[in-house]
Amino acid sequence: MHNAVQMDAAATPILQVEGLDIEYRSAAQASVAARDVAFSIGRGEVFGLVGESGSGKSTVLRSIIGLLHHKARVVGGAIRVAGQEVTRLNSAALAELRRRHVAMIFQDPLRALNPVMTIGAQLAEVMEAAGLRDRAEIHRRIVGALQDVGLADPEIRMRAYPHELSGGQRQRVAIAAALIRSPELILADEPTTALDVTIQDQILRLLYDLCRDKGMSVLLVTHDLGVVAEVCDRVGVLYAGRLVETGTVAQVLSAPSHPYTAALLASMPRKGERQARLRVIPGRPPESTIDGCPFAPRCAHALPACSAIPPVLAVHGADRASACWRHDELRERLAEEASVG
Amino acid sequence: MASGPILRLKGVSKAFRVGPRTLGRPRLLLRALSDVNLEVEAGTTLGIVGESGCGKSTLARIIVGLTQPDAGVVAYEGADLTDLHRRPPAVALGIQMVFQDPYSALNPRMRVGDTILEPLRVHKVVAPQEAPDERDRLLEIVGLSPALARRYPHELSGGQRQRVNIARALSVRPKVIVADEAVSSLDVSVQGQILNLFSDLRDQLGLTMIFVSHDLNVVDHLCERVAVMYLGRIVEEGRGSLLSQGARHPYTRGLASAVPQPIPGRRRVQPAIGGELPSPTNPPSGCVFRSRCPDVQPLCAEVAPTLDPMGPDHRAACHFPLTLRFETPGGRDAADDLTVSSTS
Repeated sequence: MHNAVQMDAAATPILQVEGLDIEYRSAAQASVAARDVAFSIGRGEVFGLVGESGSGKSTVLRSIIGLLHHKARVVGGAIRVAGQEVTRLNSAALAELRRRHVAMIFQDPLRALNPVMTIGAQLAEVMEAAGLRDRAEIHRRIVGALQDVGLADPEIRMRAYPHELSGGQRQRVAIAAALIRSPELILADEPTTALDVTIQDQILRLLYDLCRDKGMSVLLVTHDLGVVAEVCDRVGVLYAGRLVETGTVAQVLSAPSHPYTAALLASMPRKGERQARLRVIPGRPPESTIDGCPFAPRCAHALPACSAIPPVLAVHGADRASACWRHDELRERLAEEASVG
Repeated sequence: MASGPILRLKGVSKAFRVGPRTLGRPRLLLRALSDVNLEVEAGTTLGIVGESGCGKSTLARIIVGLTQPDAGVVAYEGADLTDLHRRPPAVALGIQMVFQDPYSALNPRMRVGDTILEPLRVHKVVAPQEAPDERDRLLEIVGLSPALARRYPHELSGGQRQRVNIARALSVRPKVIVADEAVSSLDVSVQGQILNLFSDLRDQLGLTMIFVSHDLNVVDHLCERVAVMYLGRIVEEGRGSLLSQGARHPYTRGLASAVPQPIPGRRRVQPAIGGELPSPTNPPSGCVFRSRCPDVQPLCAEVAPTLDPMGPDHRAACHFPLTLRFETPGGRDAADDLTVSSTS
């Protein structure tokens, strides 16, 4: 009986997002930040949410632990963390959720850390909030956590203030703070965007290894399809607040099923490809809600129907979904388009 | 187009005093550039890459004339531009800069058309009555409708703002454009549009371009030549393709393989380069890269390597340069090169 319950918990995805609608409201108008977003993250899985600025990727991530901007509201859909619906939780329950299940890693570690507290004091605070009282035990676990994230001399680093560390070291501390309570789900919002490529490379590998070792799930928000390829198992592509496709990283990057993904891949400069003109996506994302497919005005494959009726995210094949009316007939052309670059 | 170097840097060094001002104690000396030698052929595009703090932006600023070097010579078309205060204005106009943040580089209270008109008038590029036509022509060159001249910067998108910055840089008809991280703040799809604009301008106007960037994919795509910097020094210089193959300096190869590529199934176990950039106020003895080098030897701590020829048009500063592609001492990146060459 006990075993059956455990197996059940292991089978429930750590995160389920269904039909999520988020709006930003100002005095004059309401604008859509996310519309009908649906994806799930399995236990121990690294899921990438990729999109350009304004696509709604950070808004979706923040909605999961109630960190939305005060003008933003979840107006529809469901978010379940470990099976528990979180969109209507009060602030005490949200705090409990953040304490027990979910941790977040931000883009700018300097702003995420308290500038007037030492690294050690901040990590101790995290554990005290979780109910740990034994000073020696707290100290031992901080040293362990700092070692885990590859900081040399943890006993000395504990006494340092954030400004005394480099950007990469600060992000290591932020990761230590996120992982120290062994949360089930890590939300990482562009965690390496502010770092140099060599440090990004180290931090991504560290995050990946630690989460694999501890069986934690990760939602990684990024604008960089290269980062997705390096660390994610599955990926969702957001455009103008809508999920345009989801699938495994291998599927989405080598055989995209949405024209936006294909065009994005084709517009990236790649290693070893020289001097040729880049293929670009004409125009820019829509600033207000449009009736049909939000990508239709920029899409090379759009039909008149695309601008009239928004396509729904339709499941096709195992673990693969696409919001394009023409994904079936375009399949081969999109794969070709994406690989030409 | 190649007709001798349009720009020549010889022994350029720059140090800054940093840290707290404490009475009776000297402030720390940060060597931003140490003995940089560089030649740029007219009509070519040079990429300058490296991690933050490597001195690439200081180098760009010295070339444009925003920073005075402590030592060394900056020569442009044979004229000595080293002394900022004695730069002949007509010559100085020949080198223009495009900055990273297209918004803060524009005056928020000036219509973008006026932003472009101002240098036309101040430097008398064209007769006053022709200035509006010239402004419209410049806007069209960078792919903007002349109707946008009446807009303010906040009314434009990031890509449009960067186009305005490029139009302003072009207004005084420069021969050299220095772009410091000019596409870093733009989204991928917009970045591609601006990169194509730079390629077109180079081809149509015969511009020489110096492209400072931390994004190796961008430099690899755009630049015929590349200089790799580490802790204020050029550690390797050669054809742009050395970022994808043929690198002789272990730093170049490590930096290149640290760049995430949108190709699934390439996950490596080890980071390409461990550790962090040492403090430029206290660089390692000998080779500055030795503290992070996978192939470090005792000699590296004692003798600083010089930038030596490694083949035609190729220099690297390493005592133990990487040799054949599949016989690297660590053997770590050979597989990377294989992956890349099979997809390119």
